[in-house]
Amino acid sequence: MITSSIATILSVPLGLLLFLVFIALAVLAGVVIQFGARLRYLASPVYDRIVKEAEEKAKEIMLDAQREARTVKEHAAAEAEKAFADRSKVDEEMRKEQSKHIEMLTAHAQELLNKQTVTISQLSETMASDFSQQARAAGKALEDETAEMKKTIAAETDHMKETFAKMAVKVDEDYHELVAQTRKKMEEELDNEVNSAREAVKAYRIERISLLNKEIVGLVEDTARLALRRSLSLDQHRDIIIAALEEAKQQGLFSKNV
Amino acid sequence: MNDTRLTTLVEHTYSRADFAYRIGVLKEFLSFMFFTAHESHVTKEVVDAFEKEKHPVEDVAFLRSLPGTFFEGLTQESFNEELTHLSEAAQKLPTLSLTIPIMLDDENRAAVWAWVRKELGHDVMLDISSDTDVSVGCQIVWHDQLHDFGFDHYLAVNREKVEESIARVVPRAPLFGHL
Repeated sequence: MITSSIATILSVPLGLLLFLVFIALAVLAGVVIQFGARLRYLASPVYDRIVKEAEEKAKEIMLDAQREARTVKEHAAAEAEKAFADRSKVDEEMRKEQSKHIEMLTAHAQELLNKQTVTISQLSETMASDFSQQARAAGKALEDETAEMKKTIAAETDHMKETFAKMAVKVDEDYHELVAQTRKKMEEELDNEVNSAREAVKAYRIERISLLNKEIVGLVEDTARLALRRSLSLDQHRDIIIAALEEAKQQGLFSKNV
Repeated sequence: MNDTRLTTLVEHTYSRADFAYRIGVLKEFLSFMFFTAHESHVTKEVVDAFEKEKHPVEDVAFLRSLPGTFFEGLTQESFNEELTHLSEAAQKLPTLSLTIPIMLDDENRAAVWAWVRKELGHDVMLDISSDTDVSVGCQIVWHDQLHDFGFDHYLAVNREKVEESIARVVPRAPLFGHL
């Protein structure tokens, strides 16, 4: 299977092959970087260090790969120029060289990949181990923190209960005081209103009774006026008229100076 | 003008209304005497003849009460003028106006007139009218001034006594009751 693969690879043009290797290395580097980023996102700063190391290693690998790729490319270009002059022979030689180089690249890439695989697996194991440790530490820290928070919350709750209790007492006291003040004020207002009403009624009664008495006197006067005119005889009227004339004379009404 | 005639008429007449009426009676009588009976002097027969003309008894009695000297000097040409002078002279006589509650009969009116002539003067004339609002006593107009001696006057003078009398009969309501 590997032989068929190699044969397949060897049949592919050199530039394309180099490009594919380059892409593979770039993908690998990207995977490593992403893996590192994910670890960094998920883990503690310890992971950052490990990931950073992995990234640096990946970068070095990538640079190596790039250098290798450039070298290969330059070499391939030179060879292509050489081959371009003498096509057939060069083709054959080129092909051989290409095969050789491809084998070399393949081996080198394989070696690199193997190395990275080992490194990554080592890193993965290290990182997993560290992650486990960190996870356990974080879990413990979280538990401690949770217990501490529970203690604090309990203490705060007790404090709040105490505060609310005091507030309730204060509110109750204030309420009773307000009720007492309001009651007192209402009683005062009612007393004032009642007194004002009594004074008004008293004044009204005095006025009305005075008016009523005047009306009674007026009524009696009118009745007497009518009764006297009808009940007195002509002789009595005459006597009263003459008595009035006498009174007028005594008052000096008929004196010469008037 | 003959002041004696005025004095005689005033002596027998107490009001201006009566005075004016009697001037009319005299005018009618003298017209009858001069123009109907064709007499120039007043005699008993002339008066009888005037009576037969169905004149009121009071008028004939008045004529008979006048002395004979009253008609002396009155001629057919002068009697109208003389009677006019008498009317004008009567207007100038002092007049006491009385407003009384009801009209008195002749006898009571004469009593009031007698008091006026005795106390105020023999030439004071009396004008009497009635007004029910006076109720009792009278109102007097003398020298164009009104003086009330009617019910209101007596009420004003005796108001306190009247109110006390009313209070005895109609007790006043207590001022402070159940308050």
